[in-house]
Amino acid sequence: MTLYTVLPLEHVLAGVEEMDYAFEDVVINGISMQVEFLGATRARIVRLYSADLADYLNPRYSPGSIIRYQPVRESD
Amino acid sequence: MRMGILGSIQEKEGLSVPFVSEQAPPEVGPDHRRSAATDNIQQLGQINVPTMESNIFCLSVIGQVEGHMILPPQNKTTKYEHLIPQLVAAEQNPRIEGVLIILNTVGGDVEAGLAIAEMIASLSKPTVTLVLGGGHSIGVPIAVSADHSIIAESATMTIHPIRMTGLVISVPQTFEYLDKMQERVNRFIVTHSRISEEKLKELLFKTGEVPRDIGATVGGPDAVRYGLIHQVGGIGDAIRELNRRMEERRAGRPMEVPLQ
Repeated sequence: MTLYTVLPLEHVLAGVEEMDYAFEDVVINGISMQVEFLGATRARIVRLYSADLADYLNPRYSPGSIIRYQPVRESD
Repeated sequence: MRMGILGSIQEKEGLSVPFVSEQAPPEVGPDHRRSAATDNIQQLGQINVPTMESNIFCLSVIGQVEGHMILPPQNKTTKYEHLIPQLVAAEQNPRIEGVLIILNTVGGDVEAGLAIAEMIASLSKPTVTLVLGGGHSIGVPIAVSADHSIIAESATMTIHPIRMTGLVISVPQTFEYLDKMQERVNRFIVTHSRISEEKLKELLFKTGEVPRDIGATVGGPDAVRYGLIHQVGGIGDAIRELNRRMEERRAGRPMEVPLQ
């Protein structure tokens, strides 16, 4: 990987060693995506793995969007 | 007009949308829309301006162009793996007739940047790029990739060699590798703009203009003078040019024959 940027590389990469993400793969409405957990009931979309082309144009599924989990009883 | 991706988030009613995005087109009738607007006023004290379906797809390339590696969170990033399918969707969607790319980028991953630039250059629909603020480093090939490129008068483009930090074990091979990387970028810029290779190399290796590095800071009018960018202008010029090209394309191909 080669970075070609005007910013000093030490600024761009600062904190790269401390990055610790809890990523998970989920499927929502038929779209498989990678999400980053933000606590127990919320997660942020990181990337779509596979989706209908139109879903890539839908801002609801753009990276950075938040999804919510609803706790339900296991037997339900 | 629908926008591309950004990292910032604004939450609303459990859904969230990037703050530059407009809502997806509502799938309900006018009555439902009115009641949704009333709900918005009651719950949020605000109302969404009724969205008009636009035939222009707008893509913004901001911050660092993120490639194969997730960058630390202090970077604002443009994720190329989302932009690529968006461009595929723009090419395929019959309602989208033109693509506007707005750049304010400090550069980023060479492979990701060139991938985006090649995608824009090979779109069959009219494309216009607008450089605001800055279109530096790998932003330069993206800026020149469209049919027509525009730069704001105050915007700059930094043209400098690809550099690296850290331990170098095999110096001649590393030099050769970086030289080849630079050559890929240079070739794209030269073939997609009117700048000559000699002029580009002169700017690349200029001294005294860029702190901590060699290279050149090229302002809006200079970018046009060197042949990198077509014109100095703003969003009005960009939309006007895109509409003109879209009309031209419609006139050239009056019949839309659906593919079977």
